[in-house]
Amino acid sequence: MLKLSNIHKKFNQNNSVLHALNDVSLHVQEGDIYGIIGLSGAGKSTLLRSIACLSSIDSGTITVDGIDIANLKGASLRNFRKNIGVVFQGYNLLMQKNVFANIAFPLLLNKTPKDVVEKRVNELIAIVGLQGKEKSYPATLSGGQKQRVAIARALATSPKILLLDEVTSALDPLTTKQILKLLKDINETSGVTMVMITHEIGVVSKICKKVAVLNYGIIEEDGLTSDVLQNPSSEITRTLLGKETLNG
Amino acid sequence: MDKFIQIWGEFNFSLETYNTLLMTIVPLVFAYVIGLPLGILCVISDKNGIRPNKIANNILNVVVNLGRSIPFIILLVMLIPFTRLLLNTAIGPWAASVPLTIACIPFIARVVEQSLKEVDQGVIDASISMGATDFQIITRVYLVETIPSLIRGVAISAIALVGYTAMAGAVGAGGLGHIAINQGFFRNNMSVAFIACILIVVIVQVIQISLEFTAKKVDKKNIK
Repeated sequence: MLKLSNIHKKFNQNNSVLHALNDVSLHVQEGDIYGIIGLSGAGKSTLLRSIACLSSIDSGTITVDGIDIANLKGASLRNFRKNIGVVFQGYNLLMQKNVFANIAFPLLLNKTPKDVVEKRVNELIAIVGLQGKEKSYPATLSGGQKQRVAIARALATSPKILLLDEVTSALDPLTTKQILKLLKDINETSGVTMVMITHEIGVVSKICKKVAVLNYGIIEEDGLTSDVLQNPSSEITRTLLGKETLNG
Repeated sequence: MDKFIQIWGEFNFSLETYNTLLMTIVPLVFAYVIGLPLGILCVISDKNGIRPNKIANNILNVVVNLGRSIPFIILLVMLIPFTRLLLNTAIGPWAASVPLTIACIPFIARVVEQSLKEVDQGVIDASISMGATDFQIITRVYLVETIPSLIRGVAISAIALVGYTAMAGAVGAGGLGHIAINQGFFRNNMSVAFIACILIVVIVQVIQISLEFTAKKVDKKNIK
């Protein structure tokens, strides 16, 4: 479904070259919750931004159901975007619009009829459990509620893939648990494929079926979460696991 | 009180207050018509904008900075031929509105630019990821998310304009500045100058308080 082949991306930073993504290849199957874990600066966000078509890649291909998305431009790219929903760590909600308008936003952008929008938004509000908050503004919501709005918004156009960028990093442990459960439920009921970027191994072990470990732009290992976590073959995975035990 | 009424009538304060308001509102509207798009262009052509364009951005910045660096009193005289060409006269409040508008355009472009830059890059990224066109990002994200800030910008611009009208007043535009300087200070008629100043202060206060109230009222980001 989502296939990344030999992705390279370099950044020039004051005379030195940072190889943010170095020959990254991944294969995410339909319905997967695919975790991409790594420390800060591992290239996770660059990878997610590439899949989201928010930044370009130097070489390689990214295909979704066989369509090469790295080369889409203009209107065809904008049209394709409804197939990919993105949820960000910082929520990135529209602060001057209420919950309903935020969730309706992507639908209104591509001129969906009003009655369809209303039906879909109410559906999504029920899915993420924000009934009664339709008219509230993001400023009055808790972190967990804001992330629920962001998830509903990302799902509005019924995307094939949901990209999750450190979605629980700003949340407390209990809220994190609730959001992860919500995501798992959504995955099970709607079958939407999820790609989850995180630095927390706990998040991966809780909901990801498969995982790839990214370190300095290189995929150190990937496979079923249970295999990778039980028999880590790379040092970085052991480091990530070790940190988890240290922090409890 | 009788003296006040007599002075008010003698120096035609009603008309000159009207002239000051005219010289504030008319240039403000025209300057926004040009300054707002200019400010938007500055933001989107910036290297972090949605349409980065180094050349366009540099040209815009040079034009805006040039416009802002010419002192208004010089611009006022410099533009007399242009004003004549446009309106056939260079005196009176309507004629003064020409240099006032031109002086205000770069000012407003910067004020608008500052407001729009308050939008978090993440929100722009989110809009792009939802398939928004550049036009939709401008009209539905930039301009909507910064409404309170834009309203405060209108207050700043309007108050700057009130200040400029006094300068224009000194050289034949009329208005309260004209009364304060020419009829008041130059003729040593301090009560006239005093009343004119009070009226200017009142105008500025009304602008500030009413627009600040509106900005607070529409702001949904800073509510508790």
